[in-house]
Amino acid sequence: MRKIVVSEFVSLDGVVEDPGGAEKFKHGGWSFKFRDDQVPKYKMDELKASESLLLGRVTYEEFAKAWPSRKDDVGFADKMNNMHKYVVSTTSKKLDWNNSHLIKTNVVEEVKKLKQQPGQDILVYGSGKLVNMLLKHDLVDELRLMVHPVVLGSGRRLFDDNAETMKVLKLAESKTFPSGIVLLSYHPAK
Amino acid sequence: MHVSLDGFVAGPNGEIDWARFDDDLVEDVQALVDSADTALFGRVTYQLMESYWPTAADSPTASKHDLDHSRWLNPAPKIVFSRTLKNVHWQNTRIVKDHIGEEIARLRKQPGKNLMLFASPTLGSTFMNLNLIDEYFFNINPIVLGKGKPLFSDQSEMRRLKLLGSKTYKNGVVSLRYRGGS
Repeated sequence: MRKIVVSEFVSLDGVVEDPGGAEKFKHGGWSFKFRDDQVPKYKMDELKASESLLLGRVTYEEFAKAWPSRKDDVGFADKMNNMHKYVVSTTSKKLDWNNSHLIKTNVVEEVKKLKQQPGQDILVYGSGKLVNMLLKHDLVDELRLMVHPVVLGSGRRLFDDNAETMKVLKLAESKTFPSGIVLLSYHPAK
Repeated sequence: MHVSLDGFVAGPNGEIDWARFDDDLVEDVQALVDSADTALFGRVTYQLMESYWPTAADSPTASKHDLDHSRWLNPAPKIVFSRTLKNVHWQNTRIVKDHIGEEIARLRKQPGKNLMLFASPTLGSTFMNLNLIDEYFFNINPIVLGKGKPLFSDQSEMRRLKLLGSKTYKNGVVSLRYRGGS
């Protein structure tokens, strides 16, 4: 049984749009204003504990543009490029990025099937719409928010502003980084 | 103030029953309150408070927190920032209608302890835009409300804060303390 781990860069006002700066958002790249040597190590360890990415279409398309040409000393890009990518989309036809698989219909059932396979974590980055769907169907095993010390004032937020139900979670871990980023990690409450 | 994971300080009908307290957290909040000698409110929060605190300590079921907070809050000078509120019925309270920045600047110059803005998200966002906030205390609750009254609104510009500290409570609340910035 594999865990689904949602890992997000988020501002204090809940914005998750374009932390990396590839999407032309007016505050794009905001996460790079907060750097220390512990965050990259944390992100590397997190990636090492995973063997697949589960992504929505928008995040997938940005990643598929950016990652294939990247290289780094610690092997982050290699891992991103080699691992399995499961893409939830009703409109995508062709997936160009190495090792990508399309989930077009019966998303909940398909994700449940993925979870039932043995192996390492399934990691979700970004993918706001998908995350809300996963939360709604209780498919998220861990929700990790890297809360950045900034109020952006505009931009797409992680959680649906008009979700029908409230969700109680259970705090799993909190950790402070030198840059002022706080990791808040949650499990489902039940 | 208490904040949900999705950034709300109250539910769509003003619900705050999801906010978690435990003895440790109440003690820390009380210490924070004791560092101040004046309470500031927006109208909505003020009216909620006014309907509860003047008599909270008289109830036979009053908790220790009710008693401690009443002892501080009832005699403390209280200021409500509102253009529409006409009358107040709580001791030592006055209404400020306008010129928020000037009023705060005047209060700051007076000797004494800190000025504490309680909840009041709309006024808080106004204060932020006027660069009036020195420190923020958020108690992040382990809940996604789905809808409600947002903590931050009408923020026109990006604003960096400085993390001063964090503390994790047994009930799953993480309190985050920031210094204001621009």
